[in-house]
Amino acid sequence: MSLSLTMAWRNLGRNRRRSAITGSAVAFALFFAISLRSFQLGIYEHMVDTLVGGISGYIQVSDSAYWPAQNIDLAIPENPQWKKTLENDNRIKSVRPRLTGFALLSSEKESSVAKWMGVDFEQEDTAFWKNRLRSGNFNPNFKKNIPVWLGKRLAEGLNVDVGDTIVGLGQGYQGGMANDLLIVAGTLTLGNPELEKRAAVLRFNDAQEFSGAYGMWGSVLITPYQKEKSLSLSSQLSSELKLEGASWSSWEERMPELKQIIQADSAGGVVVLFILYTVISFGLLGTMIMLASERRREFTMQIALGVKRSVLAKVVLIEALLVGAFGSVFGIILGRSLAYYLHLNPPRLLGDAALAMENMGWEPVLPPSLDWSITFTHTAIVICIVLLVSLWPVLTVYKSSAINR
Amino acid sequence: MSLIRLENLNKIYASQAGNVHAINNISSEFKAGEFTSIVGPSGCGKTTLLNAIGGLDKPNSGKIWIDNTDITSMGDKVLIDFRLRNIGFVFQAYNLIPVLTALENTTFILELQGVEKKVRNERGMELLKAVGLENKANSRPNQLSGGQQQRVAVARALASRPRFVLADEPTANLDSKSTETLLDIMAELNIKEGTTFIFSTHDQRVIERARRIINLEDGQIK
Repeated sequence: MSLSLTMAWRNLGRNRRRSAITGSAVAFALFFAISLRSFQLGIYEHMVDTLVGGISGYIQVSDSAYWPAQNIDLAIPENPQWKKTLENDNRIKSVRPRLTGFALLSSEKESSVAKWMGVDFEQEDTAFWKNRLRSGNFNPNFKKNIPVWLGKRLAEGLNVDVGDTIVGLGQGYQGGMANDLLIVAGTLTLGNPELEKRAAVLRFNDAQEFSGAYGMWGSVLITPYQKEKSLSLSSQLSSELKLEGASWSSWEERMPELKQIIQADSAGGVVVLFILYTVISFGLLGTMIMLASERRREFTMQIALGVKRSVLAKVVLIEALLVGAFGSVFGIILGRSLAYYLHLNPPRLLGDAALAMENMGWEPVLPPSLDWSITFTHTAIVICIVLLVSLWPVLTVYKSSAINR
Repeated sequence: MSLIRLENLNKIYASQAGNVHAINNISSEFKAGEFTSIVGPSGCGKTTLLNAIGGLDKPNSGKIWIDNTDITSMGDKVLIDFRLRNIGFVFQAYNLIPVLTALENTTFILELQGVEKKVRNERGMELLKAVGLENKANSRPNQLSGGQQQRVAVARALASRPRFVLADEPTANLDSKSTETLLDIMAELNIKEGTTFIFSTHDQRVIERARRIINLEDGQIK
């Protein structure tokens, strides 16, 4: 171990209380920052995932006029070769063609407007749908009629259950009629109350048959591995993998109001963290001023002996970094543990707050994000603060002369 | 040939009562192997003179030659390195590094000079043995008495075989037994290793041991 490291390490034990207070301040700052940001970004992820992920797609490829009307007449021809190229791209997690339209669904006495979606269960992320299946199954044995999986609230509204028959009547492709008898094969919990009132999911081929849009895709939903980079990836892919007659859009472009809500809310969290970091910075600066004041005589003596100021500065910086590192480790362990526990057991909102969230279209749960970038970002910020405040003793070293005056 | 040569040295401090002439036109020489005491009453300029010779404080005018090198014209960084390689210091308040053991304190300067561990530890133990503290090599300063700490400080000052050692009132905080022990050690090392010692002191026991005495009064050699 080098002399600087040895001295820095042993200096930590000279004033244990100060080292503990400094480390605790770092740990608390990091714990609070990781917890707060994990919650905040987790809620946004959940919001985007329920509103965007399974339904409209992080990236959507469709006719340029398709969104938001989702008119079936604007469907685009299937292109399996292009789809295969996309599936082989290492930036892309999944590629899901969809065919969507609107229809009136009726049971015995009840009717409701529904948004039907053609979904290729075999091609899709099966876990996504299995997790959302509330009753029934995805392999029904109905030979005569088309199976349909209804949103939980739609099924309740129509007063139907698995095995019941309903009538679907709506606009088909290019002036045709979309009408058929449908059998309820299951009900779905979609995490988005509004969607649960309207969604009727069909198998993709059944949807083409139901609407008469044979060989057509309404849109193609693309989920990238790095969801947060949807916007840049969308524009990148649109020039790399063109599809005749189709345009690319990320969810941020299709739903700018959702992005604005997230940005505005996120800014509030950043302000809270800024205040926290400011308070913590002054606390840390106080301990560094004390440290510099206690060591001033020692710095002077060592300079007199022939120790370079850069060596003394190095010792102080290493000491600050060691305290920062210990505090960070504790802060990360505490913050990540809390985030992990609450990710597995997300708090559920109750009462008016829950109702407000449901009305905005997402499930009233608060699952924190487990994104490591939150941890890395805030650890880097805290270490930068520690280094910044340790400039005080470093300046003291450089201002010290070789004699006490 | 002289080891240290002082030429018309002046040091003036500004104070509320007016300018204080701490060193007043001093010229002198110190030869290698000397065991010299600079004596005089408090405030006569002993420490200021020692600080100037050690390159810790710059004189207002005059020159200090060490081995024909004028240290008054050196920049701060060069001077720090010069001190590291040429001068040993013993302070009144010991000034050991509290987080290092006696051996580590002794070899501290050698480590800064880049001497390899085996060599510096051998030298450190040799010096701790010379000052009678070989069994305290792993003790921290707070585990040593004042006399023991000052002996470690002497060992540290001598570890790198400097051209000379400056000791500012080294016995001021020691009892008589510790003072005698320390003086015996320094006198022996002066003879054995040929190290030049320059003390500032008003301790009669130190003055009695010195082979040369410089009397200072109001910043002037009398």
